[in-house]
Amino acid sequence: MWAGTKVVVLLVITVTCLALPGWGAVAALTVVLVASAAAARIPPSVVPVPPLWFWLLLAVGAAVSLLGAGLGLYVQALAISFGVLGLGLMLGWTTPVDEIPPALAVIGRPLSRLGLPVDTWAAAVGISLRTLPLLLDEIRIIAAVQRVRRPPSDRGIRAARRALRDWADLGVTLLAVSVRRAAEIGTATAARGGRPVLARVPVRLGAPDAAALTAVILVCGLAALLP
Amino acid sequence: MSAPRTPFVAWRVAPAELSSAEFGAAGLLGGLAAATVAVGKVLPHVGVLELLATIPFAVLAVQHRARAVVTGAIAGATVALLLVGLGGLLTVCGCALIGGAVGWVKARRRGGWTVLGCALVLGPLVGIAADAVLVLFAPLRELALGSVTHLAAGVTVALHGIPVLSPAAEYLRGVIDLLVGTWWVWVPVAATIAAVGGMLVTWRLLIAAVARLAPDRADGIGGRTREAEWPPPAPLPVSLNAIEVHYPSASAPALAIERLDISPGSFVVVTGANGSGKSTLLHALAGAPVTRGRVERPGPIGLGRVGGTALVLQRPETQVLGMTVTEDLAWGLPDGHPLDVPAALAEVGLSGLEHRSTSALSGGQLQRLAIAAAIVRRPALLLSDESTAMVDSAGRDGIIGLLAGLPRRHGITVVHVTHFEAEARQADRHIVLAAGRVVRDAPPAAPDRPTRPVERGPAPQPDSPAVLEARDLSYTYAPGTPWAHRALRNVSMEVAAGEGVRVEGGNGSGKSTLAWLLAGLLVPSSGTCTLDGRPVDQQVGAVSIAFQHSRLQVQRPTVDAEIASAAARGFASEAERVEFAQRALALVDLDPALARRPVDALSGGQLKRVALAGILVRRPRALILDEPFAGLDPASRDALVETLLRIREAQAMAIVLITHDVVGADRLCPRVISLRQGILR
Repeated sequence: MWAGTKVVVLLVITVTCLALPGWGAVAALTVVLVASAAAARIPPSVVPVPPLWFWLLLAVGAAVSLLGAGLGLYVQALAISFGVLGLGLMLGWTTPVDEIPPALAVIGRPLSRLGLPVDTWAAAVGISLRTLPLLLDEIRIIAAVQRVRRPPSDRGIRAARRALRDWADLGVTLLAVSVRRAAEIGTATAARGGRPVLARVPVRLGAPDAAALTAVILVCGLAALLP
Repeated sequence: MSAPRTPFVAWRVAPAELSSAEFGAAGLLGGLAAATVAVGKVLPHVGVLELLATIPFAVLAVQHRARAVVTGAIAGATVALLLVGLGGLLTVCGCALIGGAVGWVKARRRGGWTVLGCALVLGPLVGIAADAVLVLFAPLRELALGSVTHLAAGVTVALHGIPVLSPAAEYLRGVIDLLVGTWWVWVPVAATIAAVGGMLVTWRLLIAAVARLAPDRADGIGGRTREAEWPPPAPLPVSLNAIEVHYPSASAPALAIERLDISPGSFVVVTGANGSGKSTLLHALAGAPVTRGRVERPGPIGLGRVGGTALVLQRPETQVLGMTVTEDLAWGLPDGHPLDVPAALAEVGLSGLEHRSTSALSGGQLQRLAIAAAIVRRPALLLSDESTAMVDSAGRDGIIGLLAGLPRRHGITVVHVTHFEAEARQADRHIVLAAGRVVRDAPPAAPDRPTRPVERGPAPQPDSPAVLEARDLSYTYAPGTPWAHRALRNVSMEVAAGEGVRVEGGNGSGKSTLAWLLAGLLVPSSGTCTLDGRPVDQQVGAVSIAFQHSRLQVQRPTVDAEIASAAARGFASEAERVEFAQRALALVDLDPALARRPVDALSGGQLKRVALAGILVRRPRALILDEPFAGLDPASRDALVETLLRIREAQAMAIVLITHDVVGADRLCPRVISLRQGILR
């Protein structure tokens, strides 16, 4: 399936859920998530299990809503926010990252008629996505350095102060490294002629794209009918 | 026929497009903001983090034009949308607005009052926009307001259960009902409060962050204006006449050359120690401005253009711009330029990797790809700025062979800058720089001295007991998912006190995973890893680890603060801290006067030693070094080996050296073990 189809589907469903939140939207989200997970053979084990306090917080919220006679609304709001989050994750799990920027350039092509630099934007998204794994690696290393340094004896206020300073160091170090890397990427862009242009990748739409779009339109119709 | 325009037309035209520096900053800082927001959304207990996403945009706005902030916001918002959905997109947009405005104020050298003024204008505007959205999306509004009402009702019922609190409950209920009833007033009010708070916090943090960021070290290559498309580039022959380059902070010129000509069709190698001005020379050839003198060439330099000048840079991972090999080759090529991907890859020895993701390539492969991307532009001049520094010795030989063949095969003139003298052997011309001046300019000398015989360190004492021990160590990433990856299987090794062991292996051999396990930073999937008999993951910090990228290891603003932090020591006075840092610096043969220096003012070699000083002053029983020699010139590398040898003897420390570079490590680590795909060979 073309990556652009997935991005369009993601946008359509998200907007539908926001415009018409209700049991229909919850049902639509569930159907799309389950169907795409089945199609891409994503097992349920990939979903990270939140810690206990998270469940406790949810339970307290549910109890208070129940007392206020609004449990239904509470469940709806929760289901929709987690469903939308799940859609984004599903896109990430099922799409090779390198297919996304060219797809964005194609989707944004109408905007370029207005004189907006859509190609530059798509190329910038490409750079962001390409450097994301490097960024995550850096966060891992900075956090590891801090773990190795942390004296095991710290407790209470000292530990809290230390944690605060560690977060600040993490942020500033990341920022400093990113600014340096940005300069290097800038030089590399200059070395390619200074014009950020993505290679044009031909769009091939097939039966899966048609099926996905049809299904999404049906599902969104369902969401609109069921308030 | 139209008259050819002069190359100077471009700078008079308002530059509508982003400069390459702005583009790089927008992509990188936008991505950083998106990652920050994503972490905040996925881990709700650190949700406050999301607000820090304003800082990258503020820095972007301080250093670049508004259009760079817009591009950064679009990049960040899109990435956030892909990572965590529409909520992420909206948060990034809000952060871009706040950060951009604060950075804009800072760039104009205004103060906190201007920030407050901006917040009082922006807040209500955003609030009114939010009102409009809520009016349009009525069901969403009802869901949100309904949830709040019901929660409030629930709290009231709960409070009624406690007789004392029942008036308070009624009052609370009344307040919330009032708020919900007049939501269209409170949304802009809340937005204004958020804008004021967010902008003032961002302002404070930005001032702190800018103080710690290195001053803009733009190398001057590829400015904001692009050369006109006409006339065609003609960078050669180039001649430097009485040029001098000064950097603001230094008194002596970084480069002072009477006369230097580069004529077409040769392979020129420039060598010199760190700080000899060789990179400055290369930047001057690439079009960076010089302080004094003239750089003469027949036509425009044509950076990255067909027939112009191509650049291959030092760090492999930041000069590859595409996500797949093919995409990278085509990145930035003019429409319609012929591109034979298989042939281009075959030439640099990357056949069959067309569709490989660039993040899966090794450093040497990335450099080959960069050379291929340069060759497909058929440049007249190829400039290589220490492109072999981060590559292992086998990869180095391959890259030099490739560069040396370009003049004959394609008529491309190559100027290669390096700190390895041996790379000049195949050159037509060998230029040596020292302290910014040319001290030699001739065909390369025949290698007069034979390669140094390998000196063996003291033989390991087989009877000394093992300090650091791994038994049947295995590790699997993302177990139980489709991406489960077994990085290490059944590895057993031991290191005795005062012994050095080198772990070698290529990309994906699992050597980094082994380093993390030995330091206790990962918990083994199976097997054990112990220091003096106790599992290392229960005593994190007992085994020290020095990472390859020192800029990530050195996290405090000044050298003395960094060493104190690395040693996990607090001090009563600053004088005591400086004295402690000076002792630590002496340990790694650094000038104690560096103790008060900001870390950003250090060279790469000094930074590595400062990182080591903080580690060694704790007298660890075992030390893991991850690629400690990458990017060092041979003299600095030998000096670092000497230092480590002395400390290893003095402290009876066990050393594990993770490297793919064989040169220079034999004396420090006579024993070598090899990893191949997670298995010990």
